[in-house]
Amino acid sequence: MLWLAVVVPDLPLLAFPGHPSPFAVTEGRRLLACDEAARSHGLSPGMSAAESGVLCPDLCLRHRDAEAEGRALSALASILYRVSPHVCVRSPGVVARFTDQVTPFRDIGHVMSNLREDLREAGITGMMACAPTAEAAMLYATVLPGQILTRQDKWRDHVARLPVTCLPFPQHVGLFKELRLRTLGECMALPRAGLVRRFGAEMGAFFDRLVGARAEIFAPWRPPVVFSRRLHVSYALDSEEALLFALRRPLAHLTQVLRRHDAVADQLTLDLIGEGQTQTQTLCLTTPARRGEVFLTLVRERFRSRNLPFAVTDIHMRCDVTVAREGSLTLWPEGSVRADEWGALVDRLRARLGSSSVCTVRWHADHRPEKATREWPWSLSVPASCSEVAEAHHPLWLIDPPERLGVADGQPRWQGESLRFLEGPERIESGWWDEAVAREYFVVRAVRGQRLWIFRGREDEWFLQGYFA
Amino acid sequence: MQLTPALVQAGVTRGIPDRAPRILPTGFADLDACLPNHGWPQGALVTLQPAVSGIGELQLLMPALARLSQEARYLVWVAPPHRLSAPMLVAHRIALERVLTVRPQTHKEALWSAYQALSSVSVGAVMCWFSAIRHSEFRALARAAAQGGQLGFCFLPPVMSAQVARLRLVLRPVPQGLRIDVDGQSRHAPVVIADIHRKASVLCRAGAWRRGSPG
Repeated sequence: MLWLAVVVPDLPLLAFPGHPSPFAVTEGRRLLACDEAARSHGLSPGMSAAESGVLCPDLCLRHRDAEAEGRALSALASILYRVSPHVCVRSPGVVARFTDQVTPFRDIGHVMSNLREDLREAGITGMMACAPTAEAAMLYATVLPGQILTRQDKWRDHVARLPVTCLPFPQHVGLFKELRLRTLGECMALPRAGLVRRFGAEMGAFFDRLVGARAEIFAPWRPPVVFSRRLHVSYALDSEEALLFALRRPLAHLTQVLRRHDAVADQLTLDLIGEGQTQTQTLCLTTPARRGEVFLTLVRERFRSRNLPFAVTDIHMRCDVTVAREGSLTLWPEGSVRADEWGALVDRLRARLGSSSVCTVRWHADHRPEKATREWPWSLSVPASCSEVAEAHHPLWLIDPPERLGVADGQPRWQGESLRFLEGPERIESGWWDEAVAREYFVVRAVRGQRLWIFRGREDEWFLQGYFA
Repeated sequence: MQLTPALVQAGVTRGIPDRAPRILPTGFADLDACLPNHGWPQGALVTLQPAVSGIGELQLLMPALARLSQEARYLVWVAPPHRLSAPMLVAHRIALERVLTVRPQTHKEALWSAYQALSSVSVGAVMCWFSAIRHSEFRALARAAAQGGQLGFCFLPPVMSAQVARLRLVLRPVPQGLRIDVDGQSRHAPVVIADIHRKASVLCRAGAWRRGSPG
């Protein structure tokens, strides 16, 4: 087995294509990476951001964008996927596995020179190396780029001669110096128990993986699946039924694609084109589906109440989000059937009424009643709620915004009727940071028997805030 | 060996479908005693007609809703007239992630939403509000409720004529508390629940209604 590693030392910079110069990326208050122009001003990673501003006044600073870094690594992985079916992402680089004897290419050096060209075209500056283990390949790519070690060489001796300063454990460099350890070989010759006690179990595992004494198991990278279909109909579609009929076959294709990749879809984008106009419809699912046909129901609900805006002649269909299926089927499926049914109900409601009309209630930690309750569009990942347990002495129905009450003889009146005070006052004073309130709340009974929750504001105005329903 | 004595014993299943209507106790012993089968009927649409808003009409449902929420069932509120207070729902032991509010724009959309929610087996209870509803529309909703088999409550204004509901409760405030007239149950005197707010929150919290015996 042979591993090829490509390490991108300037990965944080790669996340900002077309950045100005001089440029640096920060994490916390320290520089993580800086470009060539910034380096010429004497900047280096690890420097504090304030210090770098003094050295180089026109420096452009950005916070690290981990998501864009992931995308850049994914792009790198897709390049390596052309030469090896087994590619794994290991930040800040990618490793690819080859077999020892049979390579469909002439030799690994040839593969590397081809890759170098591909990387240059993609605008990625990567350093690469080959070694019999992934850990060693990563290490050599960082320390001695271009190195090729195979099993035929005395590769373990070569690894043992590397200096300790090249280890990816910068925090232990001082300790190595105190122990007068110069090479990796000297470290590995130490009794393992003592090594683990001094440097942690991670160091022991690292050495084991480095020389191939422990199996290296990485999740393989898989190329993302994008489903895209363009549909042209010879007759213009003018009704919901005709549209559904036209969509049936491409959605059956989607089902096949999902099944082939063991994947699921949770969003479908439809571009409806006709009469020189384009309309984009996005259909979302609460729980990702393994069948494309579920989108038919949503299309039906979306267009049931309104007609098609124009006669449609072309349909562009995209299924952007396709993620691997997780979990497994259960032995007793009742619970999951109910959950699926619930997801389908929410999807139908959202398709017809719009996402903003289907809400979940969230409790925000605030003493002002109108701010404490918030309605969010329904989704599975809603912001966390306040988890305290309140006393049930406030009303269930809230009026938003509070209704102003009339005043007669200094007493509040509701719909022209006098009110009888039952409880209070309860003082709520809060919100000095945005909208300060100082209120005295009372529970009152109206003439017809309702229990109401009213308050007196700063200027002796009375408001109705809720019903004790 | 004789099997018959074993078979007549209660608790031995013989593959015969259970004919007893499914109910959920309301939590209020006085009310349970008045209701047919001593609880909220499941798979039926119960009509609630409060004389005015703010007399404890929601408190009547709270113990049953708290129980459903603790069983991880969803509670759907279709076109509620006001906003539900999140801290008070939690105070009544209702899990907020089980609450879904639907705010349709038109009467037709409200009917459609209520129909969808009532006919889904995934929902624990559906509460819907209408300012007016036709008999035919109500019958369609009742059919959906029978199909879904869950709790369904339809809030209507007091002026509406008697609906074709299996169970209709008229709610009025009286000095002693909340008076409930169970329609079509003339043999019972009206139920009066005093201090319903405190009682409901205690019931939700303690779970005492679980042991509540009918009558």
